Amino acid sequence: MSDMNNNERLEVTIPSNTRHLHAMRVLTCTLAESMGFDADASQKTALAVEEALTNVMEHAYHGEESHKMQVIYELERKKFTVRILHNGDQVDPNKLTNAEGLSDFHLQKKKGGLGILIMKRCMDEVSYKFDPPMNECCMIKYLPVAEPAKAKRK
Amino acid sequence: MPDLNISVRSNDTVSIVEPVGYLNAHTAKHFEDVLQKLVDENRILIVINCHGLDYIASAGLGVIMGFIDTVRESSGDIRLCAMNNTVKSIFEVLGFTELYSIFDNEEKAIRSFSETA
Repeated sequence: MSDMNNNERLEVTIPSNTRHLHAMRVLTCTLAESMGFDADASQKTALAVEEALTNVMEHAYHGEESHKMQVIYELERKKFTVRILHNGDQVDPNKLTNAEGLSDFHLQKKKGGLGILIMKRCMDEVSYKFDPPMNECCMIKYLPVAEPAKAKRK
Repeated sequence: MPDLNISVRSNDTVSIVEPVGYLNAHTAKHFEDVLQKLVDENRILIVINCHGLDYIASAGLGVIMGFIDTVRESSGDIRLCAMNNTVKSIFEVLGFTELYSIFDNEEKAIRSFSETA
């Protein structure tokens, strides 16, 4: 499916239980690879999704496992969008961390917010929408533009 | 396949921790408990051999960060080795490679403690 002509949309609803994180990671990685992302980019996209889901479980649902999270994948020709929706408390990334790098975490002696940093570093765009009762985290990864083949010298 | 298996080996001075599987929010508590037990026993020269680690997420990285701070306060350290490309890539993305000691293999990681003693 590396040369996609049609947009595709997948929706998955999972309980807010950490045991499903690995399955979501595998699914995300598989979808990214099917779009033509290389292994490294696919793994990073999968990690960003896992971190976003973990944030929802920890900060929106406070570890309660009885809630639901909806994950929407939108596969376009050069653009992979992942939306994570939940109806828990608002997750304000600015309240979780203002660290820009790992050394900031050491200086601040804190671990919370590391996932936010991973999401920013692994995806091209990360945004949040708060529209009670639903909250959304939207992450986008673009397929790199292939460099044109160099003309052969005569 | 189990989510995460952890084995621990120790010689006179250095303890080697081998996590096999994946280290994320689901498994980080198990990993934390293993490291806490070592620190409680005052075993503060630790090598984490990552050869069986499929991937690591922030929950696992946070555990490592926290314990490195703890053991360094007592002149100990946690050193890492034998990462696959997936794990190494995440360490690089976050800048872990500049702050922590990472080696190609376990032998070099263990030897590094005697070289810096």
